[in-house]
Parts: sequence; C-alpha cells; structure tokens
Amino acid sequence: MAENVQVTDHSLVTAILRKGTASKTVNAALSAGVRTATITTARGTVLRSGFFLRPTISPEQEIAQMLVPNDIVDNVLAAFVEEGCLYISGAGAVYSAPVGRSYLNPNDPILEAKEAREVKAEHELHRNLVAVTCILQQGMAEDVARSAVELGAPGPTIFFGQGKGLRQKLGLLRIAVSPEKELLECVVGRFDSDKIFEEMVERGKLGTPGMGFIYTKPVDRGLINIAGTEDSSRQAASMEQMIKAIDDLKQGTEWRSHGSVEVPRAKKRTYLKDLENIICVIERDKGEPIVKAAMAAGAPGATISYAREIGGAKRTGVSGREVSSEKEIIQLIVARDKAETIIDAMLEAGALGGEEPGYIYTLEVDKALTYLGPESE
Amino acid sequence: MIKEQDYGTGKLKLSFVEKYNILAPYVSSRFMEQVKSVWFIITYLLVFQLLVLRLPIVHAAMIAVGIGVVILGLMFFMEGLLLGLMPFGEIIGATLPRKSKLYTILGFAFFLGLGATFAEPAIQVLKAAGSGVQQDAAPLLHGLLNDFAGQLVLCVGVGVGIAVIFGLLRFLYGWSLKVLIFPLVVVLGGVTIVAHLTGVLNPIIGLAWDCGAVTTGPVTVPLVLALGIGVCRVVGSEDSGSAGFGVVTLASLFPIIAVLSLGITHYFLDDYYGRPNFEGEVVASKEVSVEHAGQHHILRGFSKDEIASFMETGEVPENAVVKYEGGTRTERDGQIHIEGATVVLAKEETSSVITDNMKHWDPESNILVQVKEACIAAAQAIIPLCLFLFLVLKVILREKVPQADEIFLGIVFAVLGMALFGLGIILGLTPLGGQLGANVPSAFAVITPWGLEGYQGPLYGAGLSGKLVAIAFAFFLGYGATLAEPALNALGATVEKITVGAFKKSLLMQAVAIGVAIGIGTGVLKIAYNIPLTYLLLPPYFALLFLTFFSSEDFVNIAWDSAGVTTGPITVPLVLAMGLGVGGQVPGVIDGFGVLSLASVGPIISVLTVGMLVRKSRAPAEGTPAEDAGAGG
Repeated sequence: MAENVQVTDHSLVTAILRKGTASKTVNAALSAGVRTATITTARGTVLRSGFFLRPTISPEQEIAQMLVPNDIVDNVLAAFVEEGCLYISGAGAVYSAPVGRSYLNPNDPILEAKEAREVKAEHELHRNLVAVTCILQQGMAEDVARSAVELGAPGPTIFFGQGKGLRQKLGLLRIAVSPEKELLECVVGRFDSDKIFEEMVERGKLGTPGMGFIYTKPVDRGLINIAGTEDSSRQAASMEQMIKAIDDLKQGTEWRSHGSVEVPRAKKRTYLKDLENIICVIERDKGEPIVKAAMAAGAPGATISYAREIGGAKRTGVSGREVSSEKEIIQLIVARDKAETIIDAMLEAGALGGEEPGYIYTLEVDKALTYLGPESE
Repeated sequence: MIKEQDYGTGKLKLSFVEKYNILAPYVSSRFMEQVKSVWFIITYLLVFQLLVLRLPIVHAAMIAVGIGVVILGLMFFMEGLLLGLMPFGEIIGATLPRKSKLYTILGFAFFLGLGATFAEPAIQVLKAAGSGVQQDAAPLLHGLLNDFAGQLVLCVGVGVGIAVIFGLLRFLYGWSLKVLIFPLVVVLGGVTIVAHLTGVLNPIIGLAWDCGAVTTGPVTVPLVLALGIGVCRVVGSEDSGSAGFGVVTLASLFPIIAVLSLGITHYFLDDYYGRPNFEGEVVASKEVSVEHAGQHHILRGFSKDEIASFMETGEVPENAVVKYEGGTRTERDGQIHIEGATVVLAKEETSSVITDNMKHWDPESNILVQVKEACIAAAQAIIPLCLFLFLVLKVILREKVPQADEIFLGIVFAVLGMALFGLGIILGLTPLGGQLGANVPSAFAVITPWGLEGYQGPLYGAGLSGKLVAIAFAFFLGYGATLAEPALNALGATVEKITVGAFKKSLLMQAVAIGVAIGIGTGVLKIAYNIPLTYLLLPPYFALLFLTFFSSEDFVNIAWDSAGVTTGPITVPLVLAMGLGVGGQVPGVIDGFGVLSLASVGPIISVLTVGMLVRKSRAPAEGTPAEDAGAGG
C-alpha cells in the first residue's frame, strides 16, 4: 500500500465563473484558506430571443474546484459570493458538496493549516440543491442543456473530456472511435431535479446504447446565479431576475409548479443505485497508468478532463517565467462495494506521487442512468 | 507503444465484420464532411458556366475525376492534421517552455518559420500572378519575380521566422496582440505610402501584400496554431485560456515589410533593370506576353462555306448586317440618299461558339507525371518539417512521443492527403477555375471561351452591368472557395476546441467566408477599373486600427489569424485565374496582384464585426465589478 493520509472532513467547493474573472475570484478564495484550486475552461448555455440572424456565442466560463476542510467551507463560500460578486444575477455560481473520503499525499500542502482571512457573509445560501451531471458524446450536450433551460434550470455548464475504456483496446483502429466527450453539469433545486433529469434523459436518448451516462449527486449549499436566457430587451429587470427574486422570496422553486402539470414518465426506468464517484487529480499526462490500474481492478471506464492549477507550488521555466502546472482530472463511476479495491489499485499505481502531489476523493451518487443492455429495458 | 496502452484485459481481437462496423461510419462521416465543404464552390462554378455564361464544360470528365480526388485528398489531409500534425505541434509547444532556454526557443521558432516557408513555396503562385509583367514597364517587380526570386523567398522566410519569434515571445511574456498590431500596421502603411509615391516601387506593393497573404499555407498554419496552443497551455498568464493565436497574423504582416524592404534596398542600390548596378538577365521586351485571353484567333467574319455559297448563289448568310461605308450623303424630300457607297455585309456580333472539337479530357495532361509531381510536393511540404520537429523533441527536449503510432499514422495521412489534394487541384479545380476565370470577362467583353473555338460576349453589356456580373461572380467564388479551405477548417476546429464550443466553427467560417467574398469582389473591382491597390488597401487597414482597438483581445486574435488562413490552395488558383482573365480585358492592367491581399483584409473586418455584435448583445450581463482589467491575452 502506497503511503497516504485518509481524511473524511473535507468538502468539494465548485465555483462556476465567467471567463476573465476566475483568477481574481479564486485568489480571493485562496486568501480565505483554500490551498489549491483547479481551473477548467467551460462554456455556459443560453437560450436567446431577439433577431434570429444575430450570431450566438455561448458565454465562456471557468470551473474552479477545490478540496476544502469542512470548518472553513463557509468562509470560502462567502469569499466567492462577496468578492466574486456572485450575488449579482448572471454572475456565476458556487456550491459545496460533501466528500466521502479523501486520500492525500502526506506531503500535500492541503494538510497544512493555513491562515485564513475572515469574510463576512452577507447573502444567504440556498440549500436543497442537487447537481445533475451528464457524460455525452461530443456535440450532444447543447441540445440536452437547452432542454434543462427550457424547464427553468440555470444554464448548464459544459466542458470537454475524453473517454477511456473500450477504445484503448482497439489498437490503431482506435482512431476511428472518437474519445471526445462533453460533460454537462447543472445545479438545480431538489424539487425540480427529477423533472429535469427525466427531460435530459429523453432529449439525450440516454436510455439507448452508446449515448452516455447521467447521474445526480447531492449538493450541500450554494448560490446559483447563472443566466439561462439572454434577451435583447432593455428592461429594468430581465425575466431571469424577476424569477430569481420570487425564488428568493418564496425560498425555493416550488412556486413555479403549475400544480397538476407534470412531465409524464415515458416509461419505467431502472436507475442505478449504490454508486460512488471517484475523482483523482494528478499531473497532466501522468494518468495513463492510473486509469489502467483502475480498469484492471474493475472500473468500467474513465473520463479525463484537463485543468490548470492555481495556488500550487510555483515552478519556473524559461528565463524566470512562471510555468503553470497542468492537471488531469480522472473521473470514475463505480459500484460502491468495488470502490475500495479500485482506489487501492490507483494508489498502488502512484496516484498520489509524481513531482507534484496528486489526490483522490469520492463523492456520493444519488441515482444514475445509462443503457444497461437489452435485458434491462 | 501499442503495448503500453493496453489496459488490463489486453487488446481485443476483432472479426472482419466488427472492424468494418467500426471503420465504415468513421470513413463515411469524414467523407461527407468534405463533400459538405466543397459542394457549394463546385456547384456554383458549374452552374455559372452552364447557365450564366451558357457555355459547356470543357474537359468535363477530367474535372469530375479531379473533384473526386480533391474530396478524398481533403479527407485524408484533415484527418492527418487532427490526428498527427496538430497534436505533434502541441506536444512540442507544451514541452519547450518547461525544458529549454529562452534562446533555444527563439532559435527553434526562427528555423521553424524559415523552414515552413521553404517547404510551401508560394513563389510559383506569385510568378503566375505576375506572368504578364514587362521588364521595362515595371523593372523592379520583374526583377523580384525573376532575377531576385531567390532573395524574395529568403526574405519572406526570414519575415516568417521573425514573426514566429515574436509570436512565441508574446506568449511567454503575455503581451497583447494589439500592442504588436498597431506599430506593425502603422509602419506598413507608411512604407506602402512611400512606395506608392515612388514610380518604380509602386508596382511591388501588390506583390508584397500578396506575399503576406500566401505564405501561410495549409501545413504551416495548423502546425503553428497547435504549437502556440501548447506553449500557452503551460506559460500563458492566468487568464489566457483562449490564447495560442496570433502567430499566423504576425507571419502575414512581417513578410510584407520584408518584401517592401527588399524592394527599397534594390531601389537604393540601383540594382534593377536599366540601372548601373544591375547584373541580372535582360529579357527582350515582347510585344504582348500577357495571354490576353480570347484576343487571338477570334473568328468574327463569315465562315468560308458561307462566303463560298454567297459567291455562287448570292444567298445572304444568316445573321448578316448590312452597312454602308463611304459615299456622299444628301437629303432629298426627307429621304437620305447615299451615293457611291460600298455595301458591306458583315456578320452580326452575336455569340458563336463551336463546341465540335471539345474534349472531355485534356489531351496534353500526363497523369503519371502529375501524380509524381503531386507526391513530391506533398512530401516536401510535410516530411522535412516533421523530421525537424521530431529531432527537436528527441535531441533538444529529450522527450518521447506520446501516442507515437497515432501521430505517425496521422502524418502518413497528411502526406497522402496532400498528394491527392494537389493532384485533384491540377486535374479538377485548376481547369474548372481556369475556364471560368477566362470566360467571366465575356460578361462585358468579346472573348474566345477557354478551350473552345468561336467567340462570345459581351453578354451583359460592355459597361458597368457586365462588370457587375463579374464582380458578383467573384463574390460568391470567394465565399465558396473559403469554406473549402483546409487551413480555415483547422482554425475553426481549434477555436471551437479552445473556447469549449462557445465559438462555433460554423460561425467563424461563415464570417470569414463573407469577409473573403467582399475582399475578392473588391479585388475584381480593382482590376476591372484598374484602381491603384493602395487606395483600396489602406482605408480598410486604417478602419481596422479602430475596430481592433475597441474589440476584445480574444476576438482580435481570432480575427487577425483568420486573415492569414483564408488564402490557401483552393482559393488561390481560382482567384488568380479570374484576376488574370478579367485583367486581360482591361487596358493598363499588367498583373493580377492585390486580389489576395484584399481577400485577407475582408475577414478581419467581418470577424471583428461579429465580435462587436456578440458583445453588444451580452453587454447587460457584463457589468459586474469582478471583471479583471486586461483579461485575456
């Protein structure tokens, strides 16, 4: 067993920020006690009204993720909300999710206590949130994301990843199978989540073979202020802002329900239960043996996305220019009873080693859905 | 390598049918993608020739085969770019700043730029554009294209080398592209005005600006883009998520300065035809060396048969017009009397095209020689460059190539694709574009159609209306050809990838294609009315300074880079054929230069305009105080 420290008192804080505001906002979080954060580039989703010929460009976003000890989570969330101005409509989102276990390198600076600046929280956070995540074939995400916005969800965030699995077993023939995936994440009220989940499954045809995977995971608390529509009118408050204001007054989204109008279930679905999400963050291009080990230990596949790190050990390259460190984020969804074996295999393969410390953490999965073969339909 | 990528259970054994099931959708999707990118330009050219000019397609069978080969070639080439060349470039870009010293990087950049220019020599294209240039009419321009052609290529190469150096320095130190564009454009404008006012230098303005447009070819652009993205992944300042662009821009601007400087140097050294220091060859001045398309052998009279039959029977041939020459005219009682006049029977000036001897395959083309030449050109453009990159990676960076089998296969695809593509252009696009280019002037002048006998025109009036038809033709030609350009496809795919799908490839390509269309339309206007290039080139660049100043950094990067990628192997032959064809009917036009440089300005303006529209529509949401000053880069 490779040397590691296992802790259970951390949360994962995720912030979705508009491009160009990320480093400033994340630096505020760093001063509020965060050690390091990974930044992934992403795009948002907007539906728009107005002149049809006007070019549409989705807003570019950045996703910042960081492991934070539970005792400072509130301070970090407050730093994002107040200093990143996330209380403004359309500015972004920040939320925390409970982490099951984290496996850290004993030398990881995350373990050292850090002096944190107190941030006064002035805005109340929402509870009763659920994150819906899809892993889809490239080019499919836009449509699925729009279906969520049409049901009143905030604009889902989409980023790119690469699937690892069957493709690696094909030899050179693998070039014929695109590894590119689109990942979509959307945080919605618990009340809305089932409806949105079903709509996404319908639109993305996720019950049919080869289309993708969808799952929900619990979110502890957060503030979601992502625009889902963009209209050209110059009214004092957009429709978006008005709905938001009523949400705040009513303390939730239940009021939006039309009573009897419910999305009818197309068919009885079999949900996957007892799953766990394993996430490993490691230096870029060092993930190959770890994915290999995880799959040998029984993981069905993995999705890899790339990120850069802020706040990690500084490295200098050419003529004193700072070289940012690139990270690889490996995501696996595995059966809960196999998780321990797979994590052990990954640790054995050196998931925490390398020049820069890597780390592994687990997140709870509420329910998931994918095509399970002809017998389950 | 393969062994390393096998996970646990090892490599799968697949039956033939399973392999087919995997490969078939892959191949057909890639094939259809290219069909989608070329169908517009091909259909457009055919329809224009058949319906607007009402002429049959000469060498139709050869053109059909050629177009099929172009599509196959594009399919392999694009796949090769995405699979081999671009990942290779990105790996090197991401490793260089980590593992080598600043001077190594700059040296690498210089030789990459220089080598890329020699690998994809555009000098042939420029020579074709300047084929009608007379030594005594434009001595310096003639000299640069012939006696000093070697110096010209070297100058362009050095220009591109310096451009890549600045491009990488910009990434390393996080400079804004605007900071480089402003002084460059101002210097360029200044030098161009000086050259415009100096008689001998004036003709080289078109050459210099076109050099900038054509140097960045379909291999260089994707490679340099990927390299930039690799570098930016590692060093860029923290918000440079979408950086990596800009090198192509610089590689288009620096060669213009280099070529103009070369011209000025020769001017001051008195080293050109007719000057004391000139040591080059003196070419005997030819009466007309421009192929004034159609002015030879125009059969305007009656045929021999018609004349013979008239002599015998006195039967007036069809389409005869009666004219009276000479004689004295007097008016008597409201009548006109002509006395002692010669009665002339002339054939009516309508089109008469003889298609009897039309061939479906060019009898002069030698397919074996063409295959060989296309293969050599493709190998020259790609293999030395890849070897250079491989050596840098192995010897200087001491890094092994990840996914080496995939990258190697990609490079093989790229060479194969380039060879097929080149062959297809010779067989299909050049004869098709050539005949349209030569025939389009029949809208406003009398010409003999390309490859046919007889004469035709002016179909739409000799004045403005006929020329407008030619300009409209140029507009759509530019639009369609641009959509098929592989380098633009690669840029579009890169932009989409870097912005995580926010800036769609199709949006960029449409914006660029419309910009090129406007540029090429303007270029034909320039030739049709023989307007000096400076008047058409400087005002848009001046306007661009303002647009650039007010645009966001990422749009500036993408827009200026689009300018460099538009003029590639599909656009150039079509546009040149048309430029020369139209120029041949306009007195005083000596060369076809300038159209390509105008085609480069158009897309910068159109893409920046799209950027402005997008930003305007998003303005309300962007007022939050957290916006970083000077973000991007």
